[in-house]
Amino acid sequence: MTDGAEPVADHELLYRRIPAASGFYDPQVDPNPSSLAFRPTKNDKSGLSLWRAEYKSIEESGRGREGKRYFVAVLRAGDLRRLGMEVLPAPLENDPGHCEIVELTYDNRKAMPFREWQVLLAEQLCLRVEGPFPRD
Amino acid sequence: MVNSARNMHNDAYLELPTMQLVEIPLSVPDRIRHLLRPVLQCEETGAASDSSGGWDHVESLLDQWEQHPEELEDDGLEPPNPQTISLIREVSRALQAYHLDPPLRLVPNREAGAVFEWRTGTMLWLWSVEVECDGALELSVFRSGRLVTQHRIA
Repeated sequence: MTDGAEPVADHELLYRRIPAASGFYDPQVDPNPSSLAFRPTKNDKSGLSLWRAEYKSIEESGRGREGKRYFVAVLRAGDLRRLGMEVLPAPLENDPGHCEIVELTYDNRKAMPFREWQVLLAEQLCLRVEGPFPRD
Repeated sequence: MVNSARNMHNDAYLELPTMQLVEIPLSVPDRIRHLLRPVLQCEETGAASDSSGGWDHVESLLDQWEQHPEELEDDGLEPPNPQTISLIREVSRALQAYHLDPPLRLVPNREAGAVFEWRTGTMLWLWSVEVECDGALELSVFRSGRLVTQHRIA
């Protein structure tokens, strides 16, 4: 493990946090999360935020706002690349494992092919969803 | 949902999804009628049914969002505001008037609006109606993760 600037390898597992209260994921309803779990927010200016499993445990990735719970979707970098998505490291201060699906940004969230990417991430690329965290 | 199944199997249609702008009808039921035209004519999406009971869950969820928006609020997630919730309710009732199956889920769109999502029994088709906070409505139909068609009424 370094400072997070090294390329994201194809075999690396990546995490995406999903707010439990949002209803984006409910295993009683659907084994797949909603594509809204992968819709960029206003904070995703240069790409959709993910976290590298080599830097953060899944429990740590599921930590967000105080008092809130989160599921964590698990993806594999090579799977994303096979469908044309590039994953680049985007280390933050105190968060070296941060990376991004570049081009999947807030500004183009409804443009093609990025609208499709959100559905593909939810329906075909999500390996599994764990949580919610923190555990009871 | 009978006739446009053929349209959805048309290769050209599948390969060239387009955002179609349609004229603006006045009432929410009229807007929903225009918006749903592609799916209401397509038997494969399995939209038409007689299971109105499941819509109670949608009403309950909207009540919950209205009473406790703070539960939904999160980083990058702005809950629907009271005005949008009122519009979502209207849309929900207009959808029910077509005897549609209850949606698989109703979720916030992260930007003070919401999205109704349906999936077919074969899992191939996914379609949604998005209610945006500015009142725009958007229908999206996906097949195996690929956008088949999209209509928007602003």
